[in-house]
Amino acid sequence: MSATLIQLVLAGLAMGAVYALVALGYTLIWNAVGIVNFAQGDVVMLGAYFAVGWCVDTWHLPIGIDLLVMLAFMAVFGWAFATFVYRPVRNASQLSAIVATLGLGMVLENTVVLIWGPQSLGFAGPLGNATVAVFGARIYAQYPLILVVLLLLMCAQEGMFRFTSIGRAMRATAQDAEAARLMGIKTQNITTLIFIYASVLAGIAGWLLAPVFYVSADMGVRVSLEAFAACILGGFGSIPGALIGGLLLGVIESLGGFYISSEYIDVIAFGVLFVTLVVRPEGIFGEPQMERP
Amino acid sequence: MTDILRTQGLTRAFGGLVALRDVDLAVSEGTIHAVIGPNGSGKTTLFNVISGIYPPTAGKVEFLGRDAVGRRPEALADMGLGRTFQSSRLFMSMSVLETVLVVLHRRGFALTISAAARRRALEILDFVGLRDLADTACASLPQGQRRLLEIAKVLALDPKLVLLDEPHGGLNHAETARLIDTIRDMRRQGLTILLIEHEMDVVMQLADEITVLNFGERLAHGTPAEIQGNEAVVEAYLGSAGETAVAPPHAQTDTSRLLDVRGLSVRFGDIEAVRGIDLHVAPGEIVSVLGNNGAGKSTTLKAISRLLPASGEVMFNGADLLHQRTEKLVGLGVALVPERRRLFGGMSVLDNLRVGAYGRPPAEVQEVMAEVLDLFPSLKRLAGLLAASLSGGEQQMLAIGRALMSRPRLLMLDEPSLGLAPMLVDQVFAKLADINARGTAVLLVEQNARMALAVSHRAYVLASGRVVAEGDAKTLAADESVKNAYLGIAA
Amino acid sequence: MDSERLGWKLAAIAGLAVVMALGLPRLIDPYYVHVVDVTLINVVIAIGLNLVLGFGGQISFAQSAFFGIGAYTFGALQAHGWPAIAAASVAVVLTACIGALLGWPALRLRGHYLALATIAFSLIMGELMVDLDMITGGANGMMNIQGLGLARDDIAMLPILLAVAAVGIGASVVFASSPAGLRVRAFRDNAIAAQAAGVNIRALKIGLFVASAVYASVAGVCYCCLLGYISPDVFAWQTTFAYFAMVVVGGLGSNLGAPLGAMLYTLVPEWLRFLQEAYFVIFGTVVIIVIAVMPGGMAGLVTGLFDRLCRALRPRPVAKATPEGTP
Repeated sequence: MSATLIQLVLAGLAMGAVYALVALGYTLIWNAVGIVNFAQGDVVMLGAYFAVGWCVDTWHLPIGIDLLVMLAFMAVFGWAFATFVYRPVRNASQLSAIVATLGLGMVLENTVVLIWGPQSLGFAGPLGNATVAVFGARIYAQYPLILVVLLLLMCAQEGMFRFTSIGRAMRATAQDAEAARLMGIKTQNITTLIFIYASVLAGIAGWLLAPVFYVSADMGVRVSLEAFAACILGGFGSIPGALIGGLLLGVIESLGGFYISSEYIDVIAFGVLFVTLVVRPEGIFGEPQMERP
Repeated sequence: MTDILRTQGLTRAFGGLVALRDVDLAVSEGTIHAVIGPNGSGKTTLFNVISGIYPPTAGKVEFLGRDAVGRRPEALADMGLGRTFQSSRLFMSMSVLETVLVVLHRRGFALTISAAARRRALEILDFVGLRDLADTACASLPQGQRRLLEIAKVLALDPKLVLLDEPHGGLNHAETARLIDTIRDMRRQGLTILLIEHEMDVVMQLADEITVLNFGERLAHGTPAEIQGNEAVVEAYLGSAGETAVAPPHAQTDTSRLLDVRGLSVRFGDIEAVRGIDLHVAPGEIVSVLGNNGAGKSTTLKAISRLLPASGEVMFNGADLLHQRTEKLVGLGVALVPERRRLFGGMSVLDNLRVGAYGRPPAEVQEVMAEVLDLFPSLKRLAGLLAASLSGGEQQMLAIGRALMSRPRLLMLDEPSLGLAPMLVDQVFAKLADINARGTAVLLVEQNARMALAVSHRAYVLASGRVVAEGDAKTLAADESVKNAYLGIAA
Repeated sequence: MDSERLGWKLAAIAGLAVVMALGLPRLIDPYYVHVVDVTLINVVIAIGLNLVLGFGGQISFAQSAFFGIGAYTFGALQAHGWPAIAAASVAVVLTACIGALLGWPALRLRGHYLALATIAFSLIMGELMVDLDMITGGANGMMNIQGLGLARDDIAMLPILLAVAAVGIGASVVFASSPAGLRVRAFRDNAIAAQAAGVNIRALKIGLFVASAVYASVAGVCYCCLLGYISPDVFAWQTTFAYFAMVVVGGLGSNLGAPLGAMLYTLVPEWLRFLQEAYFVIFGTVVIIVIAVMPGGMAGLVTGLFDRLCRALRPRPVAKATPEGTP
């Protein structure tokens, strides 16, 4: 196998892992409360800016600590999101939820420019420009790091969902909130917890992404689109679908951009997305259902 | 007389569920034909197929002698087939007049609403008695007027056949009488009417012919008198006590009140679904709440479980449940097995059980789980399977087991026999008797009256949101008034 | 709404347009005339979006794509020597056809699936505008578009744009009170009931997409005429969210709301230059507040105040209910 191919696949997998993390955020929120969080990408951006802009650049926290501080902040943000943006529109139409999250996105994008200016921020990350050899190809060490983080995270998540009481409560709430309440589960708190978790995931995605791309106000929007595509590919509402869809998309983009053309790759990718939506909205893993009541 | 509408061998399946099976129906011109049947018998599916919302899986529908299958609802409306909906589907941003105008102006590119249309709209509103409310917003109409507006909408189509889906839903006496008159007027004007209705006395008053559906099949057909005398129909509504005799309940002497409900009322908008119900359950008792569909049985249970807002008093063990949220109930000792089970389909059988004991220390959860699996040995075998892949009977057992995980003092069940074959119903009720024998009080809402009465100590019979009969189960089982309440025969 | 009230409304719109055409150039700085021109173009786009989103309840993010297709088609035809009117006509008709083509798969999609599909559409169009550089000039866009020969002449373009916006709003107002407008509201309120009432909801849904495409493409043509050049970043798919915000803040379903929203998004931030990003942080917050608790938007506020004022001046028995959704 040629070194180029390996490089492309690994780079694609790494990017795909980031998409998967963001897609996971969408999926969790969709499963829990039936809304699409159009601001998820901007939440990723928020995490990246907080970690880089404040923790590293302003407070000069050591790498690693900046991640933890940022995650704590993202947890608080998740709580605020659930309380001030989601709760007011939870009984309203799909349109209201979409618009509310769009409004949040607008607020976030302009806030970061307000605080840190229009220039993008650079972030060396924990590994800097270090490269590593995998199967004979040279790639940024950041890529395997992203994949390892994703793997660990998914194991932890599966463990939580399967073996803990809270995890079961989250799954139950996502499947049938009313029945969950009949079991004594405080679904309101669980829902807030899901928003917090989704925000923390977004924060991790932002921190992993920052060394690869610059931290800028439009990074969220770009990532969110790929994450949407990943969800649709894998099936909206399916957790394994989000993961596999993300990874798959990353690799397709990477290979396609190199072998086909980097110009038309977006058109092709989103053309496929469009067709998928029309022909099989439930994606690869999802169940055929068009809408949540 | 010609048949305006005819169906032959009409079948509609949703995946594995057959909602309609081989239904033959003939509606003669100028008559009022009623379709009745217990909950889940396929009546609304029948309407949906006839009006083109989805096609039948098999069979024919002929309207005015022409094939109606495959035509879109708009096309059928143009041909003269109008329908109303069970829950008023109104255009909330519009006024009463505008609603009728939409139908009159359903096609064409006119720039303004014509004076002729306006006149005709007012005529129609006059006919149903809504003329004075022409400019009122639909959103502020009380339930009675909403049902009338539904009828006005359908009349604006200038139809030949009108499908009325439970037009009397939620109406009080006076409103019901008015609606009966309006429907009679419609027939006088030459309209043919096909009617789904639960209020039995209304059906018996209005209908020229009745078709009875049960489990999606046509059970009987004839005049009101013939139907009321038909044993099969009576059994369909009241249920049967099964061939295997379920053990009669053990003697119960405790007269204290574990659950004491007084003056419970539930409103939906301005419909009073439940009006001032009093009932009680003693510790260790099995009490059934019976009644026809729409009588308010499930609503009562949901109100007690705080899934619906309600007024009145619901005392359980000294605490007023009406001041609590749903989540608090299991902690107090009340568990509900909801209508249609509401299992967590994507979770395993064991996980479903564990969720039932949410918040308890792990050691206790293990202990209770062992007890429950003892009670339902079949669940042991299914332990790792996803709840969604279980059969109906297994799901019902799991749902009951899940509720028992919180060691409730009062177990409430909402229509446990729904969708189950008779043999499974036997098994479920045998289990309930078992559970009760171990000391748990049971409050049971059931449509299968005979089965429920066989296992209960006492029962209440509801109709139109009120208690119309109550007492000892054996006495009620022999009482004609129960049968009359179900079949709408005036006392 | 009766013809008399309708007549008054149209007269008011026309009158306001005339007053602005005559008065504005004298009263304000030429730079702000340019801003007003751009605002008027956004008004047209917003009205078009309001038709499909506010009246029809369809979540369509395709506006930026239609805007761009109209503009680029016009520019490309002009580059081949076509006269302005012919080029404009073809641009609008072509965009309308694409709108119809988009409407057809959209028939099967609702809610967030439709939203995602239309975002994908906008993204694809945005990319094509850059990629098809033989026609579009690529990332550099198109220069030297003839238009009406009034490129960069903000003051001369003002009355033309006012006329276009006035006609656009007027048409929407007439539509709202017409039987077709009634049918659209019925469709939005309860599609199944509308269907049972005999309304052809498929034709209606496609019609809404076509209408919004027409408005956006007209705006695209005007944009070309105003600036004399176009570059692809104006039509990038992210801009589609801005039009959404305009319509929501203005008031979904309100003909007064769309222009108000456009003004609040385009004009006011120019006056409040110094606030820059903070303005849009507030704007975003207002979007959330409006959709959560103030569905009538700014227009709802305004008409509410206006109603209260009227009632205070001329007390009248409050018997009639004013249905939502009409201007």
